Amino acid sequence: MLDANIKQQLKAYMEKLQQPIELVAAYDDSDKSQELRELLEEIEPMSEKISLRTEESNDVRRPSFSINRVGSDMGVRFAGIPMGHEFTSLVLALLQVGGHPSKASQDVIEQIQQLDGDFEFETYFSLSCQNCPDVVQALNLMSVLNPGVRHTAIDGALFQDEVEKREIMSVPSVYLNGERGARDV
Amino acid sequence: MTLEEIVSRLDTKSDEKEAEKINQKDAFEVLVIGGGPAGAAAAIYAARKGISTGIAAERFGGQVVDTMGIENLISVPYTEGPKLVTAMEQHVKEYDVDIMNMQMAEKLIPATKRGMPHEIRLANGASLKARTVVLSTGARWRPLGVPGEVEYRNKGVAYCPHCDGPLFKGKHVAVIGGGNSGVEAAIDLANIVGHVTLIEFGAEMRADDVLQKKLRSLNNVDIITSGQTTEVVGESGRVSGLKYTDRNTGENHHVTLEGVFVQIGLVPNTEWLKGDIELSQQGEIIINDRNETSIPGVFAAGDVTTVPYKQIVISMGEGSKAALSAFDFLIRNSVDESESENEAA
Repeated sequence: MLDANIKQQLKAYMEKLQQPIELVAAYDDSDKSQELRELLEEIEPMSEKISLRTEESNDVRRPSFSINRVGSDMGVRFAGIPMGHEFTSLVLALLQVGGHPSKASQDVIEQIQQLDGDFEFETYFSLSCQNCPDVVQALNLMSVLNPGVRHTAIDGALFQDEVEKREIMSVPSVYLNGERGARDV
Repeated sequence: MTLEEIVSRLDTKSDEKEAEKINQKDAFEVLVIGGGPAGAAAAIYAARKGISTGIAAERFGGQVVDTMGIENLISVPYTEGPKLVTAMEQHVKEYDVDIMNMQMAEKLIPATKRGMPHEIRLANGASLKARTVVLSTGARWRPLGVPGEVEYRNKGVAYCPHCDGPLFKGKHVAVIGGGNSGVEAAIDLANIVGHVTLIEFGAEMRADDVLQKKLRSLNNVDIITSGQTTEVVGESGRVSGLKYTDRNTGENHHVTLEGVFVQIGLVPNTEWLKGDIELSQQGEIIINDRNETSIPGVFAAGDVTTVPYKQIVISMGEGSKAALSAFDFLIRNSVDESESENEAA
């Protein structure tokens, strides 16, 4: 999945992990699941702090995977394969779950930590969308910083049934607690 | 949406807090409204003169955020919109510039006397003051203005082909507009969707020859010229078709399709300035070659102005010019004089 150059860069990033993280994957029989398996199996050996296991729960999309700090539930999940424009989102999620500080301002970080309530976000993106990563990365960071925030980033092209059912025709489309949020146009 | 935007939507009290903070700010010497390439350039040029500079923007980067490949920013052979925005933001942050993100300007209240501060009212109720202002609020996609467009926006009516194209895999879509952006969109979409119908209002497409040739070589693209789109039709909450009139024969046609990509140019973001500043018929801020507007001490730059050719590199140049003109204005309208007048009043 990853070429030698990218692998090397990613490995260098993974040295910055401060805390052990685990990738918890949910596969099915599809080709895309196989691709995801390959990707995650390439990432796992990049640091001793990364472990990989599979998920048995039926409540999750397949293929998908969550990124967790070991011993906690951060609620950061990708449904699909975060390559293309979302590759940066994957790298940042790995780092931030692993305790690497984000570049967000202290004001915003505190504001996020003080948010009160349960926020379950779902974002539909496409791999060719330029402004999707901003949204995906913002919501992932919020999930890392506040236990009340959870986020699944979904590749709309891969979950076409859902996209049809929810009548999603533009990305990024953000859902909060199952309700469609306003899109930034 | 940026992190700050999302957080501020969830944090209901943030608006008040933010407004309070803004109201307490001193008057700027240069205040830039709009954070695209023109605004960023203006802020950097102003800050380099050592004068107090602020930039208020709805979203930093502006239209560049939604731009895919950029191959004509001289000395940068290839970059992408979001990457350029990050670089612009970092560059601005090299200087002492007060960046106020997510602020929408609502009204410009010009100074009553030359050299006195202007006031900018923001949507959150706060006000900013500045001795000179650079307006660089940019432009946005021009809407078709036909029935159904607003109703089915994001339900089949789209403005960003490379963002939303993949959601129309295998389907039939239309592209409205035969300029460069429309034809590029049609070529791009033809790879993803089942069928593309391009509708051009004029008798001929206006796109560059190479693009037109490429488009004609694709077998899943229909081209309709002299076609006036009259309605976007929908069914159960989503686009199901489009109506157009053949301008040669006057005949009405209906095309069954799932998506409509509108690519008919730009409209300047100047609604908030109407009546306060001189605008062209197209709604652009009229400027001269020094970026001066009809109001002394108020300058404008980039896509929001009458400058011909809306390009990133041009906006950057225009923003720089506007900041230099603002600086020139400041040194010619000395602070002491206006302040003593202020005291007298």
